[in-house]
Amino acid sequence: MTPAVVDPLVQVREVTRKFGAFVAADRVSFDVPRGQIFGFLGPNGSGKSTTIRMLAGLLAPTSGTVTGFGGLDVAKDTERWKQRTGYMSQKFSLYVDLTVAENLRFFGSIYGLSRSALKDRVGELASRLKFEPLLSSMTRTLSTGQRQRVALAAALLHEPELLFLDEPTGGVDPRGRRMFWDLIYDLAAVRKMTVLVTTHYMDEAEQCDRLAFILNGKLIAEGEPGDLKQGLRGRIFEVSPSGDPFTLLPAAQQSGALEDAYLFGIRLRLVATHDGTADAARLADSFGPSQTTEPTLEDVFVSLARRQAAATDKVQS
Amino acid sequence: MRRMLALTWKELLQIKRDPMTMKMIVMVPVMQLLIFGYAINYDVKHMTTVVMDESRTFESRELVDKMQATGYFDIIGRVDSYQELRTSIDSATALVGLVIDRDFGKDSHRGAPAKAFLIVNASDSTTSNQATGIVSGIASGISLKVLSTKAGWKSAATPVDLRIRPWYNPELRTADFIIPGLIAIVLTFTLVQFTAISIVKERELGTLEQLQVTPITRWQLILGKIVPFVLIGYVQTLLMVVLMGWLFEVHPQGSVAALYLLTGLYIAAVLGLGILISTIAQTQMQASNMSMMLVMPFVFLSGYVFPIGGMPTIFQWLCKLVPANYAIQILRGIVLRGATMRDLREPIFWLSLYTVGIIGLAVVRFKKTAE
Repeated sequence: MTPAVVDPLVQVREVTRKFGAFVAADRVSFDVPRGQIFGFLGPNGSGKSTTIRMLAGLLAPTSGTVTGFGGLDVAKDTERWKQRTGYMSQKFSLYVDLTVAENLRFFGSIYGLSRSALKDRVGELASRLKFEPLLSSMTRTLSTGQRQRVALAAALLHEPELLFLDEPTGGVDPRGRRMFWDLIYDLAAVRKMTVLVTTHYMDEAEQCDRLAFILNGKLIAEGEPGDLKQGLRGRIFEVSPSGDPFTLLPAAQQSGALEDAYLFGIRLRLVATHDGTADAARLADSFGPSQTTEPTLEDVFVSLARRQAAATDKVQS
Repeated sequence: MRRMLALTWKELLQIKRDPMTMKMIVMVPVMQLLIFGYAINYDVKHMTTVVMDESRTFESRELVDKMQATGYFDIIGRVDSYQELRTSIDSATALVGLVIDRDFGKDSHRGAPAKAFLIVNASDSTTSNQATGIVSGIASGISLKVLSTKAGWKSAATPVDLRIRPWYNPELRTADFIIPGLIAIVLTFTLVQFTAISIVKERELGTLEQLQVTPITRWQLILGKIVPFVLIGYVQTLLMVVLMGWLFEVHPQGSVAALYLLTGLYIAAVLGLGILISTIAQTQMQASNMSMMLVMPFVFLSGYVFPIGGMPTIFQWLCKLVPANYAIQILRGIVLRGATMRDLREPIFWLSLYTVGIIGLAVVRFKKTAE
C-alpha cells in the first residue's frame, strides 16, 4: 500500500519496539521524502512518539532498521545521524536556570559549532524567530510561546537536514500555533529542510505534504492528504435537518449503509460504507436537504480506524 | 572533548546559580568537622560521683583523693545512707557511686582485705568501663604499696614494669581518630546526593532527552556531568585538610599527594553511586532520600565512629561491602600513621575494585534507563 517515494531521505523498514509484552510499534515501514513536511497522526498512546523517538536515535528498535542520509544507519552511525537531525519535544527542554543565550551557546557547543559560527547562528535564529530582546533573559521568565521558539532555535542551531517535532504545539495558544507553523513552512519551503511532526490536531495534519496514520502501534495508512481522502470522496453527506439533528443521530448510527454519523454544528454528517452510497444518499435526503462534501482527515481517520477494528475482529473470531 | 567541556561549563554555571548547593559545599564539611571534632569524645572526664564513706579514716580519704586526682571523677556529694546513694544514681545526678566499708581503715591496718564497692551506671557501657578501669588501677596501686611495705621492699619498683606508649595519637584524642575519616564521610554525604539529583533533575525536566538527541556519546555525557563534582570533592577535601590542621592540629604525616590521589579514587566511587541512584530514582525527592539512606551504613559500618572489631561477625562481613571502610583506613593510615601507598596496598586494592565495579554498573544501568 506504500506508494514508492523516489530517493527518500529516510527509510523505515519493519520497525518494532516492545516494552515488555506491550508492542508500542508493530512492523512500521515508510519512507520520508526530502524537503517535505511529513505528519504522524494518531491518538495519544498510539505509538507516534515511540516511532519518532526511534527515528531520532533516542530509542533502539527491538527489530527492524532505520536508514537514511545516503547510507547511514541510526543504530550504527548514531553520532553522525544525530549531527544531521534535530529534535524538539512537546515537553519544554531547555535549562531554566540559564539565560536564553547560554542555553543556545551550550547546545551549539555540544553540536560542535565553533565560537564564531555559533555567534552568527544565534544572532540569525534570534532575529528570524523573533526573540532577540530575550537573549539575556533567564529562561525561567519566558512565556510558553517564547520558550517554544527558543527550543526550536536550539534544535536548528546545527542546521539539521531533518527536524523531528514531537507534538510541538501542545499547550500553545492558537496564535502561537499559527506563528510556529509559519516557521515550519518556511523551513521546508525555503530552506529545503525535511520535517517529521507528530500531532493530533487535524488542522495541523491538513497542512502536511504527507501523512502517516498510526493506530495501536500499526501504520494503517500513509500518503498525501489528497490521496488519503480519495477513497472517501462522494461518500460524505452533509444534511441540514429541518428538525432537531440530535434526535436523528441514533437512527443514522443504526443504518447499515453508514460507516459513521456525527454532528457537525447543527448539521449532520453521514459517512457511507463503500457499497452503501446509494442507500446513504436516500437516508440523507429523508432527513432534510443534503449534499455530498469533501471528506476531512478526521473522516479518513475514523473510517480507517473502523476498518482496522473490523479486520482485527475478523482475525480474532 | 569540547562537548564534555561545554557540559562541565554548563554544570558549573548551574551550581554557581544555586545558593543551596553552594552553601552545602562549604557548610557540610565545616559543620561536620565542628560537631565530630569537638563534640564526640570517647574519653569521658568529670564523671559525677557520690561517696558514702562509712569508714571516715585516713585510708578511706586517700582512696577518694586518688580518684579525684585523676580528673575523671567529680565528687558532687557525700551521702550517709545507701538509700540516698541509690536515689542519686537512679536520678542520674551521679554516674558513679563509691561505698567504703565501715571497717576499711581498720582492715587495712590489720592486713585484712579492706572492702569498698564501686557502683556504676552501666547503661552507658563506654563510660562505665572507663570508670571501673581507672578505680581498679587505683585499688591495685594501693594494694601494691601496702604489700611492698609489709614485705619490707625498699624500692617502689613493681614486679612487672609495663610502660604504655600510645603511638600516632599520644594524647589519645578522639578527634585525631575521627577527623581523617570525616573526609570520606563528607564526600559521601554531599557528592552522592549532588550527582544523583543533578541527573534525575535533567530527566524530570526533559533536558536529558534533549542532550541524548545530540551527537554526545554516553561517556562524554557522564564524564561531562561528573567532572564538576570531582572538582567540588577536591575543594571539600582541601578545605577539610586545612581545617584539620588549623583547628585540631591534625596534620597529614604521610604523603599529601597520595592523600589527594586516593581521595580521587573514593570520589569516583561515590559519584558512581550517585549515578546508580539516578538510574533507580524517578524524582529528585526519591534521589535525595535514597542518598540519605545510603549514608547511614557508610557512617555506621565503615569504622568511622564505631569500631568494626566490636561488631558481630555478620556485621563485620557487611562492613567489608562498604567502600567508605577502605577509604577511611587509607585516610587514617596516611594522616595519622604516615603510611605509604605500599603499606596501604590492601585497602587500596579493595577500594579500586569497588570503584571500578560501581562505575561499570552505573554506566551499564545508565544506558538502559536512558531509553
